[in-house]
Amino acid sequence: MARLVRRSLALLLVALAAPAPAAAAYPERPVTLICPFPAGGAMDIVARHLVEAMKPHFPRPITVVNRPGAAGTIGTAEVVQARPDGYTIGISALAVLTVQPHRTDLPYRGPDTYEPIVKLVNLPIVFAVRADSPARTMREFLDMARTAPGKLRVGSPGIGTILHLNLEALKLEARVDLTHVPFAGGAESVPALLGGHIDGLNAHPSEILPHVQAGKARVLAVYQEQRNPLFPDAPTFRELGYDITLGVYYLLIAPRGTPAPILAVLHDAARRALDEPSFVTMARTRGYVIDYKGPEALRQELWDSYRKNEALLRKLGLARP
Amino acid sequence: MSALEGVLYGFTVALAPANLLACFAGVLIGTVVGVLPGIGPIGAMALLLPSTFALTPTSALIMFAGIYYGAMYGGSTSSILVNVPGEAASVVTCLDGYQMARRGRAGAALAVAAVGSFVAGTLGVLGLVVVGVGLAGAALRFGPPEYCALTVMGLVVLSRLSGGSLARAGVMVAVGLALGTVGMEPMSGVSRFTFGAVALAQGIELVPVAMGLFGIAEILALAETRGTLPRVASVRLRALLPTREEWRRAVPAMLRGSGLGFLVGLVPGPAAVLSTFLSYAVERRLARRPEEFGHGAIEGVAGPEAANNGATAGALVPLLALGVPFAPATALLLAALVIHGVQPGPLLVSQHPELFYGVAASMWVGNAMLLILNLPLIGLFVSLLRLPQHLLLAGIVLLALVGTYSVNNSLLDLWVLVAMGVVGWGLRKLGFEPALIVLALVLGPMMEKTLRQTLFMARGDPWVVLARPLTLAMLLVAAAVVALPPALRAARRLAPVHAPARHP
Repeated sequence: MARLVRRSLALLLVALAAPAPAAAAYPERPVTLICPFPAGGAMDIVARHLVEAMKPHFPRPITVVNRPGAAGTIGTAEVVQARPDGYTIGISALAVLTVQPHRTDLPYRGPDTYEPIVKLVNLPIVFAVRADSPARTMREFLDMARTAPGKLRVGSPGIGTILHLNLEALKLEARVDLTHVPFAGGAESVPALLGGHIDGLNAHPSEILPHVQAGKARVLAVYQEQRNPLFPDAPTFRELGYDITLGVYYLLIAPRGTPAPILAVLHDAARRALDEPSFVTMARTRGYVIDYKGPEALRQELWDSYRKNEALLRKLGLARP
Repeated sequence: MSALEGVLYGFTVALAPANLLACFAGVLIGTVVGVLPGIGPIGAMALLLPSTFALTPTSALIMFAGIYYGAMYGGSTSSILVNVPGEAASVVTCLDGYQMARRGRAGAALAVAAVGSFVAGTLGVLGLVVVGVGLAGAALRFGPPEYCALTVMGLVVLSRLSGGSLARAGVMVAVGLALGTVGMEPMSGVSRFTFGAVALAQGIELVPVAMGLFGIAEILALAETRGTLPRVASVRLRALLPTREEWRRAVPAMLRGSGLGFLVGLVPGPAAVLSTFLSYAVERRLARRPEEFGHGAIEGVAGPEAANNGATAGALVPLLALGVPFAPATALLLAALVIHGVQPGPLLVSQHPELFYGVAASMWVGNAMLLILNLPLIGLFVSLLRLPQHLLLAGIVLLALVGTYSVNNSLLDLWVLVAMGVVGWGLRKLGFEPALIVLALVLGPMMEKTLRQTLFMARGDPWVVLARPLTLAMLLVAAAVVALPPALRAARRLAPVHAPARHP
């Protein structure tokens, strides 16, 4: 018995002593990158290209593991609850981190409950109509909405997505009544627009671009700070007088308490990966904007959205009691 | 490019050595994951996605399509031999395929399944090339109200699947619908029935439920009764092939299944699974001896197995003609393209003819490969039953557990698998039909989602649904299915009063 206790104590000491040298030699073994959305989705494709592009800058393999479900909260919760040793990190998105915590009880809340590592890409949001829509411009669409309040239907990929919140912000700022129809992802909302079941749509460029090129849809305005080179004729909402520029962005996160030197190694490798030609090409063809930000600026930006989204969700009655 | 020119051009693409190899790799992997319980085409494609970096977009899509339809061939094997569905679209095949095996006709069932898959696959690709683009446009006419009515009709019509009392079927459907509400609701993100557990927010998945209710339950039942799997005396090929009478009954079912499957494939949702239920219901309705269904009717194998292959071809229509994935599996096919920077859309056929026609032609090549691959394998698969039973059963349980975990890397899925195994074992004892739980779990979430979208569109006014003729028609059919049989029975009870002479 005494020997068992002694041995256990010795093991415990070894276990306690281990993390310090491990941090110095990081990374000693492969790293798991949890992607909280299904394989083949928009985020998964960014994750896999990122991992490819990090290869020259990171001495160990990084494996993408998909843990989809519940709008990205399950995989993100798993990252937040993982051991903070730098061997489990995650990719996540703005809405997962700054909208969902206001809606359900999750193991993470504000941006101080995890470590933001690096901001990767921004997926802009655009407003599109069918090609045969009588509205030639965004102003005409809004005027149509004013003459027939509630008659025009606008789709989003789901309640509580950034694409939905931008629509609600537009309704508030432009003082128009549009009927919001939520779908389960862009793969449902785009066909609904093309089939004439809704009159307008908030979507990502990659989802709507093939239909614009085929002459089936038109982009009327973009929720961006500058015009989108894919749709040069579409003004920004800021130009129209509505200051809505939020896009969806993807970032890397680590569990809270991951040692700073380890976070620095991950940050540096990911930052260099953003400049790799393969990653740049992927971003351009998919309509993603590479948008680097370091941990401090990123945490600030997350706090900003976290608070703004809480206020907006309360106003819409979508926040949890 | 006309369709004929396109197809000829497609064959030059599909027969290029690299693409031929990709096609073979795809159908082989598809067959294997189809046979293995738990892991299905979706899991396999998700696992293989990183490897497609090394391929051209065309080869990647050819390989992934091969996995998708190849799995439909393989899925029937384990359903027929051991009553364990190889993947979700083979649940219905268990109903009669396994009964055929018990009567010593395992070889015939496997042969009919393989030939049915081939017929449907070949006809489906023809449909894709000839009418695909036009049909995709028609599919867009279906909005949330139409889909809602379609799911209501589907649920009502298909719940009469295996006969039995309406009340018993209703209980099973209710259980399936209830299971479908667990987890985070996909449109609004509200968590339901999670009891504060983050893990439950992902919801109850189809794969572990189907594997548990059929596979694990069957193994539990065998273990309990010390029963045996079907024994096959001879594995000579000739004795395994269907008789002339069996062919006569199977071929029309295959053709109907092919057509139905293709059309269902155009509808969003897990089309392959739905198409098998629909085909089974149709065959039962048309059969001269419907009482044979559930006891080894060959039409009940031929129809659904053709339908799930037809559905894979149909599901490619919205993907290749519009660039929109309607089903979870085609979303992964899309991923194999976008990972290479190809974003399919309405212009895919004209901008990337090598992709569209190459993939179509490769599907003919792949289906031929699968037929050649599968017919000789029948003897091999059937002789698997000669393995010591305890090893075979333990192996199946292990494969089901590993396969189920690999789909989502989720521990919850494993608990669901085990729990559903116990539930399925209990349901058999009580004489309930567990296939209806699977059906309701597929249709329930679609019905709820489209109903809510309809109400959003109409700002809460349900009568708008009735103003759309197609919706109204489908709802009337559903109402008739519920109301007519009792009405007819009542009429028959009254009839003797008016015509007493016929019953002296």
